Amino acid sequence: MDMTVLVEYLNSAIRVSVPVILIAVGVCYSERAGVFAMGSEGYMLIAAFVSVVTMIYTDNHVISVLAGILSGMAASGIFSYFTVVLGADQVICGLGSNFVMLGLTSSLQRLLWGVTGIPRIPAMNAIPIPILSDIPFIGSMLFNQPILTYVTYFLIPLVWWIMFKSTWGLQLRSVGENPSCADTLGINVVKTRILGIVTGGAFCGLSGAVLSLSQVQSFTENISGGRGWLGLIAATFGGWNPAGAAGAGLIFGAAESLQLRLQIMSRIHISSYVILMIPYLVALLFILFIGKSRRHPAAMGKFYKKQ
Amino acid sequence: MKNKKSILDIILGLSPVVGACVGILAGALFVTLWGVNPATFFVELVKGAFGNSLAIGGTLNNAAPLLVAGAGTAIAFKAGANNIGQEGQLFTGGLAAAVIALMMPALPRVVGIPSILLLSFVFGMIFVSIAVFFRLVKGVNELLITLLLNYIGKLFVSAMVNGPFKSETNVSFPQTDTFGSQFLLKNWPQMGYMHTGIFIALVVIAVTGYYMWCTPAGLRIRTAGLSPMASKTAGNNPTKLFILAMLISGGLCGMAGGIEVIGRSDCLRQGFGENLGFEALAVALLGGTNPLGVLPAGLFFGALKAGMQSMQRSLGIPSALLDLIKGAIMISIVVGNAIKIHIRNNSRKKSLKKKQERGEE
Repeated sequence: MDMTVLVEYLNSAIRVSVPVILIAVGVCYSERAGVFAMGSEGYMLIAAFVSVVTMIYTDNHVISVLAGILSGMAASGIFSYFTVVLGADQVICGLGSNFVMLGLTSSLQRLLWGVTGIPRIPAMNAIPIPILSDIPFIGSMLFNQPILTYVTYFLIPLVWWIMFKSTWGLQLRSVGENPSCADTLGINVVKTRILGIVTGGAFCGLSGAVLSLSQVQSFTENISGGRGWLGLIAATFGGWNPAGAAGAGLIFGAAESLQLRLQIMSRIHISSYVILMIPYLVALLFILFIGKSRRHPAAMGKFYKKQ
Repeated sequence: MKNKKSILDIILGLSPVVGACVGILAGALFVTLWGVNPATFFVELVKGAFGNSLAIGGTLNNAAPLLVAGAGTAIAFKAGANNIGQEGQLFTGGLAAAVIALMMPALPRVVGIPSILLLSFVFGMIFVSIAVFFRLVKGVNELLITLLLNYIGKLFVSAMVNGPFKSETNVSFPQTDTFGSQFLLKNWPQMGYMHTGIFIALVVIAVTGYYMWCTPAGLRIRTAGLSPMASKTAGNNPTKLFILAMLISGGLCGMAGGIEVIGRSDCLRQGFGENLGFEALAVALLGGTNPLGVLPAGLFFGALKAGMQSMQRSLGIPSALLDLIKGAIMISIVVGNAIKIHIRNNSRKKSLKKKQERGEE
């Protein structure tokens, strides 16, 4: 295979995988705190919508990304109140919030722009980093990306450090493993869980902003299209470790990018629907091989009530 | 004292009704953005669902697959198995209709329709067994796998109707060739093309209700969901019960797909059962995860769907609003359940305290 084609493919694989990676990292935070992150798809949707709308009205990328993150946090905050404070079923509540977000964004989009759809917004072009991008092979693969990809590079080690080396990270993991034990040690379980979920929501929000602002450059109905679930699976694979989850997210991104490429290539005669299945099949294969070795946080999905 | 408690129980038992009301109210508030009066929303909703014989037929047609798949979902939930892959099972079940009708076109009516229903049940079972396999062999939660299988099932059916099963006569829309008329459920055009699927659904509801409440197997399944420990102590095999509940659940969801295909159209179309899966999930929750409760819940949802569809035509309100209502219903039911448990625990604590005080005296 031609070298430039390969580099180009890997470059796009990284770019495409950024939203999945960010969601996977967010899911890690929520699930390490002991709460199923079923609503990630919905947070991503609302964030994608809010950031595009903000972009249209303010024409400022920074504000739009922040608005996206905030909307993800707000949505996950409501979810955390229902599940952590009131103790509602996390799976159904998460699924329900996905549908609320889907209905909300699709109908608001129709209301605001009718059938014509949302206008396209200016692209966030790839910014090559001066010296690093000159490195052969790796340079044009890693360092010729839109700015939000660099932000992601920076965030992954940071969130890994927060989760495994900081006091708050330890508290977060402890409320997900054994909340009653954490409680006796004086950790506020409810507060820590809410913070974990909202942090996760912020990542899903950022992911939605990346998807709509930097990749699709618009908002379309159900723009997230199952990426939230892929993120959930990536987190499972990564053993709820942000670094591992990011790795798994990268593989899903590579599968998705491959799918996009195969669709363009007319030489290969495979049904386009089979090609669309690739990311999901890759996810299933992954589970087949790694499944049993991953143990989820002991208290995941369980409501904790102070006695 | 005892009387008072039972009244509280009745009020608390109404949480699905409250959930349904919250969902509709959310919709009614939202339509004000379109400048539509909430009162008009209610009137149009009822008119679209029950206004005339055409509307009633539409409501019942909507309800038929939801009732069948909802009953299946309810059984899985009762057993404590998390099947949320209704959509994938429904689509593969629909594929079964095409397999029978196109590969064995000579079958007479008496054999044709029952074999379609049976094969769609089997297809749903086979599809859900992938998730069962992953759970039992790999220890992966069935939630994730069934969710993933939704996408795979839908895309698989799309690949089939665009590939091996693609119609040669009709190329405008991805669909199969027209089935022979002996494979289609009887319908009444003057009733809005209402088909016999609703009667099949009623039979399914009756059978599953009987199975869950009047047979030992149903009792075992319910016990496994209520208290896995107690069920195990009583000598039941939790793995077996899990497999049983998942297979029945997947099978019924598949059958719902089969009914939808041969009831509503005369061929298998791409995306025929879009959204039906999660609507069935909402129906199961609304019915209190009880096959008998699914009956009113499914009829309600069928009516809601018909009403929203007609409102899209008359008032221009996007049908995406149905997603919002569906989500609001799901959330408010589980939140209502949580509050219910909270209130029950509190009243139990209070009565315990009273007893202790009396004991001290």
